[in-house]
Amino acid sequence: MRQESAILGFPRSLVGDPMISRLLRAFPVEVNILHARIDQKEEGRLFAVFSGEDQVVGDALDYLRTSGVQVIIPESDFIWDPDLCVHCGACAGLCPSGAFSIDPESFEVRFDLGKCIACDLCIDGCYYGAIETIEEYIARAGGE
Amino acid sequence: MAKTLQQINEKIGRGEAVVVTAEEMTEVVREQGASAAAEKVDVVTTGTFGPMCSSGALLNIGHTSPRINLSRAWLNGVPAYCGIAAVDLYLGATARREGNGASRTTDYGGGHVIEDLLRGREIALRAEGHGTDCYPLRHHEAVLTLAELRNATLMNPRNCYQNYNVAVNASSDSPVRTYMGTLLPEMENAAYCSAGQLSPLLNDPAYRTIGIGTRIFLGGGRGYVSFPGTQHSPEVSRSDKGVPVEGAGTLAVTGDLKTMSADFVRGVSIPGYGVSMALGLGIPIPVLDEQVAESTGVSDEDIVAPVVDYSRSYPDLSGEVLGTVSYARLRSGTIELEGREVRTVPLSSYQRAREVAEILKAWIERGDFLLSAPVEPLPGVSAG
Repeated sequence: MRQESAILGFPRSLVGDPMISRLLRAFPVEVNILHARIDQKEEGRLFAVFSGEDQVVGDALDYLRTSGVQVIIPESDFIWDPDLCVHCGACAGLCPSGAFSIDPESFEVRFDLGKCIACDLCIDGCYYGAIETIEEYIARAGGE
Repeated sequence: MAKTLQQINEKIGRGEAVVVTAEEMTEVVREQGASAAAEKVDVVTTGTFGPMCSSGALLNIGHTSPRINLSRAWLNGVPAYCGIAAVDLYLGATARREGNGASRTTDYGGGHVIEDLLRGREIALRAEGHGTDCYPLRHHEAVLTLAELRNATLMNPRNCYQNYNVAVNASSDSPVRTYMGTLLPEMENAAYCSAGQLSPLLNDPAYRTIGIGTRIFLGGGRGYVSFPGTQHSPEVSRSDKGVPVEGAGTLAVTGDLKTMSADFVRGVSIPGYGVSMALGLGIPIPVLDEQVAESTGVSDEDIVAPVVDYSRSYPDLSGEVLGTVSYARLRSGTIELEGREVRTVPLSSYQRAREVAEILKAWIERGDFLLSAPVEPLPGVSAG
């Protein structure tokens, strides 16, 4: 089994196409869509967790790439910047999915990407600018 | 047996002083009692880290040629106060960049300028002068860094609140956006802001050892308690052990910004409210006797805070309190309010507070930081 959180970027030409439906018909893979948005430039962003057999998840992501979808596998610095974080834990008090938590011993903030549902509640809750949106992450980290 | 401050400083000088953090002291007193703790421990270090709005920096930019007497000045677009001598200006932590949009990413203010100075970044100064015979220059623009400033002094009129409100929103309709963060309707969350058992004034509730002139850890450097802070209120209600059950004492503090670090001085941006500055501050407490040991042994279970409705009571200043809750409960992540579980949102970093207390402990153990007796006491419970 492989589980992969990925950000998909749909160029304007693909926004009208039912890409995820096609993907699901072609591959036995589970897709849990956590966040989807079409911006003012009519480009689409989708944040999802893909799970299935190792080979199948890889093939499914390759299928999207060859169809012209940008596939970004987030690095460990996704959304949360530990260098800017002061570990107050305000994010953990707001996070509905448990992606942000406070370690009960060290009182440090921990982030578990696998639990993030990209609801963005933490972003306004962080006074220190240590949390960014998917769009800001992409702008900073760029594509693959 | 009572100790004097001088005896404690001599032990620090010899490298023999026993120094513990306020968190460790809580354990020592719990396990061995206050009397044994007073024998064993010489110094307790405290710490806190959180937004402290009443903060700012006094900067002297050095004289220009020709000379200028500043009438208005902006640092990275943030206005600074110029109603003092020619090239002195005061940059307040909550001053906002002018022409600033409401967008989160552009919220920037005095606290951010101070943080940027500490990070060694270049700051754009734009200034206007009164234009007098002795100070003829009317316009001045320059790029400044902390190293180039002639003086940079952190001068904070009110920091280090001894206890604080727990903020909720008891309205039924909409969220309220406050300096305590966004509060959800029907008391769905509760924001709090104190280091509790690590917090300096909660470990010296009657201001026995902390007073005017006390040397402190300020923003990663050294500073001093310069005066009671604004709104210092020693006469509030207190627990059986003398611990205030609401906001009480405060401190005005001063220190050389050039000794400080961006790890402990941070600009903050609060959506729907504005900007401010978060600060790390720590104060050593000499364990002079059993009474001091008892006070520094205070635990989060013993410290309670008032729950205040920020949708109505706070803006109206009605003084209504919905209940009280201990910091032990607050730190557990949920509290019970009117029979419901409510999630708590911490605004003060316990991790950073602990780091402040640990650093101060290391300084004292190394003999780099001696304790000081107050020049004058703070106004106390009986003094009003």
